[in-house]
Amino acid sequence: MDHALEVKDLRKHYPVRGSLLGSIGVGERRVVHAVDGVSFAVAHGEILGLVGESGCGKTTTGKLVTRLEAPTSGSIVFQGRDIAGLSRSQLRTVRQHLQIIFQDPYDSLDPRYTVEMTVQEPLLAQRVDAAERRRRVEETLDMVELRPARMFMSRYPHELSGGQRQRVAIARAMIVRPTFVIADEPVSMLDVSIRAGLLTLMRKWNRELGVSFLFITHDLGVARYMSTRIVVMYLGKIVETGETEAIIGRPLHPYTQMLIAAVPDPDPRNRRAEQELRGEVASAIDPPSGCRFHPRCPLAAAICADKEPALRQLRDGRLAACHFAE
Amino acid sequence: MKSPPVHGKAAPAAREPRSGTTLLEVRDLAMHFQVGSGWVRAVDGVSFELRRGETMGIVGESGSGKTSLGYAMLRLLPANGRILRGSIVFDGVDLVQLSEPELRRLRWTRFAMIFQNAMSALNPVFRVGDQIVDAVRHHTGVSRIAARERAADLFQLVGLSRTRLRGYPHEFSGGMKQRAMIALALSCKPDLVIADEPTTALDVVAQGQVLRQIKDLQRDLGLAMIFISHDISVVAEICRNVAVMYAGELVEYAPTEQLLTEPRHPYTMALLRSFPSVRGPLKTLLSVPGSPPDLVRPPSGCRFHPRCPFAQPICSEVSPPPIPTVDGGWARCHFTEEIRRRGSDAIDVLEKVG
Repeated sequence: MDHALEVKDLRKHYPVRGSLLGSIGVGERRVVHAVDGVSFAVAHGEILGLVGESGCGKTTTGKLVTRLEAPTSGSIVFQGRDIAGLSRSQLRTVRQHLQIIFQDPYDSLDPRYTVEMTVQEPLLAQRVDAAERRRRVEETLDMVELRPARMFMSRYPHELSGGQRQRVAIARAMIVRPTFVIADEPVSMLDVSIRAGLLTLMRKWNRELGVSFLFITHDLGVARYMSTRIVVMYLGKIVETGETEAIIGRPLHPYTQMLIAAVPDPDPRNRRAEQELRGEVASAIDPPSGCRFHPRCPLAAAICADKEPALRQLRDGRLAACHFAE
Repeated sequence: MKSPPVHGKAAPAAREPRSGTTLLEVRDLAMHFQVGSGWVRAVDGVSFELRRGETMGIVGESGSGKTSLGYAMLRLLPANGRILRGSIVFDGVDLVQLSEPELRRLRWTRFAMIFQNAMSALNPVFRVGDQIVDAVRHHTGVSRIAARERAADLFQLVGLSRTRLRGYPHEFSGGMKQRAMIALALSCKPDLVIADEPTTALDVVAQGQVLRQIKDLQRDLGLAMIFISHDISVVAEICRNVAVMYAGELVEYAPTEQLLTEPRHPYTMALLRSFPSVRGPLKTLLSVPGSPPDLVRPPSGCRFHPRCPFAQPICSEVSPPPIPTVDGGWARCHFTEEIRRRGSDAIDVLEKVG
């Protein structure tokens, strides 16, 4: 068992709601292919970046991996065990090791709960006694640098800044001392001047405590800062994966190229030739035939509309799903 | 029906692209709004100048007052807001002194605003094209046919197919809606457009597309623009000059390249090093210790002093005046000269605290 997490051919299809004919079985049933055959592995102690635009399936992938959603098919091997089909009660023990941090610190905290009540909650399920809970809340708040911890424990969410709220949400995930954390855009709602502190904190846990991360973000800069390897998704599929620096320095898939070219950069020394940014993300209900990126792709040829490209091994151990990438 | 001249000044004459002359001059503008605990000093003594055809960026974090400033410039005040002092001289006319009907005649025709949330700015039950036609007719009084022609031209201008004019807002993607909003803002050929986070709700590729569109429009129309954003990278892409806002005040102003390569206010320095870049070498990220102040009771002296690693006793006592830097730039910091002299050593100081 040399992976902290291994996902194979993961799929999640949602039936489209509100289609009356579909619901009574007449006509074509329409389906959103949110995640469509995704495979990747996260090594022990690794931070893997999962990158893509909205609608690419990155958040759904995170929810599937934590089993907040049940996959349509595929396997999720965590600690040597396939958790894809586990029941709720079976998942309880898994959740001690596998936690998720969400994007919105305004949405994820209950406004009626004090910080202490919020952070200790995962321990209630484990029947930890009150004194021990209090001790661990204090320790964990200190760990997320909400200091002095005792002062923060009695506060309510509305008394905290956005950055402090997100630290509380992170403390709630970290109190069970997970070995694996899925972080879904954990800093994108925060102001830039406080993002760095949280990113640095997560990197520190990774380095010092060996916590593995699946770090989901739309921000390539953040992905670059956090992870040594990234997975790039487009319309439910992986288009490219490999070492972060190699991909950012020389993206092989035309979509990755477009994504990187679109990132604005404040440093005039980094100005580059403009690359065409064409079209818009297609619908995941009726994804384009063949390669899903072909309607927007500057390299597209006849084969691209007919045949779906497989992820192929290319230079520097990289995989890309493009007929023409080399 | 033409807009009547305002203060004896014929509106169309001002359309001549006399680039280089001042279009907007904001002097000591203060806009506060009332909340339960007192008055929030959201905009507190802001001064700057914008020339015709110039694009200026205003960068700040949430709560810095940048959006309030954008609204205050057009005198679009919240019900609990009030302009306490200052002037907003637009093409020779002080907007602060105008009556509401006089202002209404200028809005959209002489200056327009693009808001962050284009999704909710369009009425969902009307065709997008009809909404633009109505806006054009309402403000310029041209015939329906002429307004339709104008709407089609505008769509072409912002890179939307004219067949989209018949579409409803829900049929538009986020990027397309934002383009339609830009078309709407340009519908009456304004001299100035104020855009508040126009690309923040968009994905990176759509954002890139809209930014390029805006750049083309600047070049082709010679439009003056104030671009408000929390994202200094976005601002740097399209603005000639940038102002940095902190706690209701502008703290630094400079030509974009100058600001990015040689920031002279400690807050700007920290801001530039607080987010990871996709290009260039990987750098250690800095965070600014503490959090932005409560603007009901802002700190004395320099408002950044409680978070500033360079702070000296004078900083908590005297509010620093704008100290000239280079190329017409300035920084409101008592130690801006010292920061320049210390160069990379000053960055080291920031790294220690961040």
